Amino acid sequence: MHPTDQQVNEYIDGTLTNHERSAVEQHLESCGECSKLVAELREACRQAAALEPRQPPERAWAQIEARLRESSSGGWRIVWPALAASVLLLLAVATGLQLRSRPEPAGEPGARELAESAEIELREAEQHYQKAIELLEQIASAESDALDPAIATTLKENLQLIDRAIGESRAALDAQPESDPAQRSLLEGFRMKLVLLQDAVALVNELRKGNG
Amino acid sequence: MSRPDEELIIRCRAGDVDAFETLYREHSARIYSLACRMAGSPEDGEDLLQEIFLQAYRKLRSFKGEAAIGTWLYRLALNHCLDFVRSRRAKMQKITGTLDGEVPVETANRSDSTAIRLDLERGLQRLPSGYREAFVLHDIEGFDHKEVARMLGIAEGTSRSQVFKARMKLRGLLY
Repeated sequence: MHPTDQQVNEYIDGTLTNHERSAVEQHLESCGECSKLVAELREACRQAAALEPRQPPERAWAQIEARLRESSSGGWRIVWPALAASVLLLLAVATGLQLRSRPEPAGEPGARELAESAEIELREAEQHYQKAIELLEQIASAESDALDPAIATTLKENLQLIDRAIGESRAALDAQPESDPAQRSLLEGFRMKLVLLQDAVALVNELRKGNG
Repeated sequence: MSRPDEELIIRCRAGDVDAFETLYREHSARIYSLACRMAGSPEDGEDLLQEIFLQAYRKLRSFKGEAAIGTWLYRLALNHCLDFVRSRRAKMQKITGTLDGEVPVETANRSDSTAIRLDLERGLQRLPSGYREAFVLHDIEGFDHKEVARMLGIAEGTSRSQVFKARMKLRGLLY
């Protein structure tokens, strides 16, 4: 007697009991039609599992992009890249300083060079940050209904506090380059600045959604 | 999360559309494939793809980094496709009044050797809706029957039965 379609499929999936599997295999030994069915079903399953991803048509991205660019408006397009660049540079600097704080393995001068270039990037990061803050202030006054002045003031004050702490850490580090506490303090300042910048971006996104 | 992924996400959250395009190029093929196969047509698949990525752009703030960004995108896409399938099934049930909303498809019997050979992708499009989704999730995407049943809101036995029926119909279309 031929196995049922369900039995054939469960045989292919390996979910029959030992007894059921033996019965099916015994039948397949002498039934060309069922053997052919099993072979073809196995091939269909094999092809399904091996299907490659399909590339979407190019127009799909073009339409997504159009919708995204349409929804991002006005001067915020100027400040976002600057803020994002600040955040990224601060990430790079934090990583470089962490590398500098690790003991250097023998014969590997790369980590120190990386940390020294991180110091240069530190200066650039601050310049980017200052530029982003100036732009934020310009836009806040130009589009005062997009950002609550009280929030902008609080944000600026918090950033100034952090800057002061970073300045003090930097001075300590300049005086004692190998000081662990000074390095940790500087890193902590950058981390706080990162978090505040990310929160600022998120907050203004929320405000834009509410207004748009 | 890798450093390049972390930087990409920061830039996307900051509104950098070029950064989002990088994310799209990396992950769109897998998501488009899932969408086309679940929806049953490239046209619906393309619409779903756009909705999924626009939703992803809005929801990136909620991405916490516990999983890889590709995994997060895939889950978002899968949930979106499942919502689409459920919504379409509900509409079909209203119109046809049937429980499974099957559309009859002509298939070859076990020994018919004159059927036109289709490739698997086109064969999938010709499967009835319920069979296709169970087959895509189990045989292509690799979920087990318990997971398929949960996602589709059906019994585990129904998932097995639909996958088996899908295979039989595909076999009739391919050979």
